[in-house]
Amino acid sequence: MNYEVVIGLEVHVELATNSKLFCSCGAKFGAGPNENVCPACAGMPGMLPVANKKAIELGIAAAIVTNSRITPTITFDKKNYFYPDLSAGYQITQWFAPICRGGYVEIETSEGIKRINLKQIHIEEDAGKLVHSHGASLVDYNRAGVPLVEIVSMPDFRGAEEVVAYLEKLRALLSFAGVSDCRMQEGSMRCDVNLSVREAGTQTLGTRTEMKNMNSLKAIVRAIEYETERHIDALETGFEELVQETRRWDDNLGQSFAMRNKENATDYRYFPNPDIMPIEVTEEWINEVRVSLPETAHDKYARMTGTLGIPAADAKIITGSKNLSDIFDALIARDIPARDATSWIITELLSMDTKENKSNDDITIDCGKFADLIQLVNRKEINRNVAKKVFALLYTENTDPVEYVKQNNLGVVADSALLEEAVSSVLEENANSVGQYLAGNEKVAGFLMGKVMAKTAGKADPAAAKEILLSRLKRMK
Amino acid sequence: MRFMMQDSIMAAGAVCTAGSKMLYNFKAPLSATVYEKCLKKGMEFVGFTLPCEFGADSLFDSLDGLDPAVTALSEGRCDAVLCNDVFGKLRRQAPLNGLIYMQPAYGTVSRYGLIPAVSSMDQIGVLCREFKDGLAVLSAISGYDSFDGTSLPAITYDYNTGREREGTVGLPGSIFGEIRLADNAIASEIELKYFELLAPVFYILACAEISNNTTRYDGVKFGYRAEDAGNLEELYIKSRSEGFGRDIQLASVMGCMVLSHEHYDGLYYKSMQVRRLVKEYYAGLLEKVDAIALPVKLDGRGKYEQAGLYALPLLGGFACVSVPYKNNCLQFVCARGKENAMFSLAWEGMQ
Amino acid sequence: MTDESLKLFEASAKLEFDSDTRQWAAGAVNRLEESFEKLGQVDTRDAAPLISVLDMRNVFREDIAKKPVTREELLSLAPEEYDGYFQVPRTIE
Repeated sequence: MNYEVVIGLEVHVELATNSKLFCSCGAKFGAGPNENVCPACAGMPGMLPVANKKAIELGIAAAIVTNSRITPTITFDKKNYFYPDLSAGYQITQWFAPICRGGYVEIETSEGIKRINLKQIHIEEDAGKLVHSHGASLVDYNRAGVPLVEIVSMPDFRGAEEVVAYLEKLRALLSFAGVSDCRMQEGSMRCDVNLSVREAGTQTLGTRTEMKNMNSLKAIVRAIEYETERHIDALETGFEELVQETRRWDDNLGQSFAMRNKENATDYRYFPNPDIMPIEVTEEWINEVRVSLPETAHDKYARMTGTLGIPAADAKIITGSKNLSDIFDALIARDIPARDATSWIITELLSMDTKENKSNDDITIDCGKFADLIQLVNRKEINRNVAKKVFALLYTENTDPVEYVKQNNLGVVADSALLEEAVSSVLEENANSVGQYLAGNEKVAGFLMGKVMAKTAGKADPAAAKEILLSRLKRMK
Repeated sequence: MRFMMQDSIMAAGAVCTAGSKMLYNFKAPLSATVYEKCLKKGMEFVGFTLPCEFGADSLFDSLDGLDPAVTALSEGRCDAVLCNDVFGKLRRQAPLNGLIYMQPAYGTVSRYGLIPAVSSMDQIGVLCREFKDGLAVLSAISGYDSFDGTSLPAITYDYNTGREREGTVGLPGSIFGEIRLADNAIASEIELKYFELLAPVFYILACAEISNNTTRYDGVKFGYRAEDAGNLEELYIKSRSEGFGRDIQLASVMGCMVLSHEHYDGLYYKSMQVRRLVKEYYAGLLEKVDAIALPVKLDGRGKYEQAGLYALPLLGGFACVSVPYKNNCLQFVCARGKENAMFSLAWEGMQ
Repeated sequence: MTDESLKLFEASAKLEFDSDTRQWAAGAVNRLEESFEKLGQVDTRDAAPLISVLDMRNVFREDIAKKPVTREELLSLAPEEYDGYFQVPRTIE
């Protein structure tokens, strides 16, 4: 029996705003427990929700980059249930009139380009976080009220490869549009997987299970593979019964577990929120947002490989990360040629992090100083050796390259008199090697060049020094 | 000018219970906008009066103890009390005790810092002895507040009314017997359309909103928490069953019912539609007259039917004022913008 | 409403009536349900549901972060707190 797995995804993405959706608490990651909490998001009575305009605009941006149909008048509704991480006993979400419907995302897989259709995107509040300790549960409301978009796909996925391609594409679209930094490890992008299995070639959907708590792409892949197996086993052996339910993925054990609260049975009693006035999303507003959107990864890639003549593989790396793209743009803005910017980022910057294994999105560098350093090299004021050392200092200690070169007198030595002097010393001090060279072993020149560089504390202009060395050697023959 | 507030309006640092055991120790973290506005106008804050739980007085019963706000004024302890009268208790009791209750049109006064009962109907109004006191306080508290997303921007409120101004008053012959009017009132017959629907629609909407406004009281973050609750489920159920009075408990349960999947369309959604019809009809009526007059109680009618009297202005978001009028007690209702005309009609009848 | 339904709605509201209250409640609910039947008398086909009596649209605030109260003030109101968190009995997943 040949089986086909059918998957739909619900992706929650935290919007890149300064403050929360309906109160003015800070929305950024990393604060200590309950530091970004006010009476409103802690569930205390008496405060009223006022919508964060930026959050709505980021919702519009998400709609635009997913080719979705924007709803002309959107409203907010209450979804009622009791759980400690939901401080008011209800979540403000969009049930009746979500920000948009019916978009799509195109992905590249080993079998070509595929279109994943979206059911809808809606804007809603995030809930707080629960941690468990000493036999109790502890609640942190920092995340409660942070604006989210929930992106609901149609069940168009047929395997883990497509899911990964989609999540990476979604991340590129949304991070480049400034909607979210989409970091799974920080929880600003979370994915619930709805999965069922059926006989290949049939149309009816099998029993569906939902899985939560996958915190990385690898975990998602493992979860999909496990759950697919579990479904197939259940269908073939009848040993386990498949129930429509929500399951929790445990990446350490490599298994999914049924969750106790049968969320499918909950009636959320949705009704419109009378405290929040409807929002008219006009054509004008949509166009304003569209026009202000940064260049997409796709367009940047096309521009880099096209007019800028950057090799495809390099362009792929740079446009694979919003952070690297931003660094690239910052260098270009300071008149660094595109090819130099690319090679410095890929060859030098990415090799700096040997210990921490940071992702490309986490690498930080002062772009102004970075540009200054590249200019010094391009103007031949320092040589490549010196540049590498100074770059290391810039990366680890944020050293100012121009200052440092000046203070330490690291300017390139190109003065022919000085170079002649250095070459003379080296030839005197290394008579054996000179002899070997003159006897026909030309490779010794490299050794002698090393000595000349050392003699000038690495500052010699390599081309000029080499020219002088070789001509002196030639004259000695 | 000395003012008090019902204990559902916050003053930072003071315990704010909204009449409920669930909030027995809840120290307000901030102050209501109306409180700060009154202080800014130089008024003296004298204390709190205890409302019934979330103002939902005897929602399902016939208890009718005198509201402490009425007593505070009658005893001269203050000149005005800020209240939220969604359920009509103050509009009924005020004129029967020689007092005035004025309730602004929805959106006039900021609800920031008011512990909500029925969000789409709550407004902070003024209970007072003297008309001029009420108008002064109303002037102090009215106006746009950016912290309240249901507060109307760009409107200035000028409660500057004389008594003798003439005005037209709509009288529903169907429920009034003979009624003596003051000299400045010109009577006009009106039909109280949809009257029998007002109470059921009100109960459906109010229970739904009370139910949802009280889910936050769960023993987790603040307020009453039941002792020796063994697990989370027990914590919720015990805290809420012990912390709420039975009216609020029943309102919560009714709210769950009317919002439930099976009943939403037939009850809640339908009520929202009827509310639209009610608002449009009465807004149309209130364009043609300066105000409508209603009795403050209907003798011989059941409690649920009388609820329609108090529900009418709230369903449409209209302003109203309840006064002892000639040999009667009347509740006047008017559209936003016509408050001065309405006050004039009401005031003249108090002489 | 049957006794069973009433109990289900109590559970939705995280409440549990004692037997006296449930008896009283049943009576009140019956009266209410009778009055609800009146809704069937009116034709609301063309009426748009009214969510707010106000006609406003697009009420916003700017995306600026503020901190109106300290964590200490908030946690001082908590029935049980631990190390900066609100504490509850162990949740089951």
